[in-house]
Amino acid sequence: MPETGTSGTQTYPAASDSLLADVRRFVAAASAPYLEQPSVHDLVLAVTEACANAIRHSGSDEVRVTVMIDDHCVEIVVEDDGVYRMSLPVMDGDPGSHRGMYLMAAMVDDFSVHRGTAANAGTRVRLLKCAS
Amino acid sequence: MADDAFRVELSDDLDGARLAGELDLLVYEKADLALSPLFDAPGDVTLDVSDLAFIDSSGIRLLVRLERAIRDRGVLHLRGASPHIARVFQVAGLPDLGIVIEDVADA
Repeated sequence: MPETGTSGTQTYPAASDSLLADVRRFVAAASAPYLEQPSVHDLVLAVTEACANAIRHSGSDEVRVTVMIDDHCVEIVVEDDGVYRMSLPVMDGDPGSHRGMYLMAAMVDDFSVHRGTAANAGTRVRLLKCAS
Repeated sequence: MADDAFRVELSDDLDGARLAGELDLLVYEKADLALSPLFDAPGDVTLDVSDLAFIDSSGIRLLVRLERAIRDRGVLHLRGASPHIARVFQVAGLPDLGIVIEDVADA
């Protein structure tokens, strides 16, 4: 198994048509040496949801994804330069519009969100998945 | 990768389709357009998802919309999912909506 404490960051243009697929390749390749395949799938889904939220709501020009390895856990940080906006069901007419956040939370062992504001832009989502 | 591009193959009878590749937010409109004939299906609709490699909440949303559209006339079946895709369906609560998940592939 590769050494722990390693990390890497990739930056993606928010307008890229392949952003989500590119992020999935990056995260899957980086986490595969440390996690079982089902856990890799879980983490890839959670990261996709975090990046999709950044694309849809933040207004940021780019999305940055950092992978860090620590002991038996893979930590992913998804960052943008925008303002965090949580869509409300009443606004888009879909009662399941919080499904993305729910799926993200269900797929990882821990997660946190630092919300960017108009005065202090930049949202940071941290996702943690550990080997079982 | 080309093999992961999202694809839809409608059945000749317009009572189902085969989904393949990766279904996420960035292909949602393409998927919505491709599946639109099924929203008017007269009865049950069966989607073969055995070659679906990935689905996110946008894809789940599309399946929920399809189920709502046909609810008065039939049932939506999702056939042949991989274990991971089937787990996403379960976690997203699709069985609670009456969507039938069948013939899940072995791990």
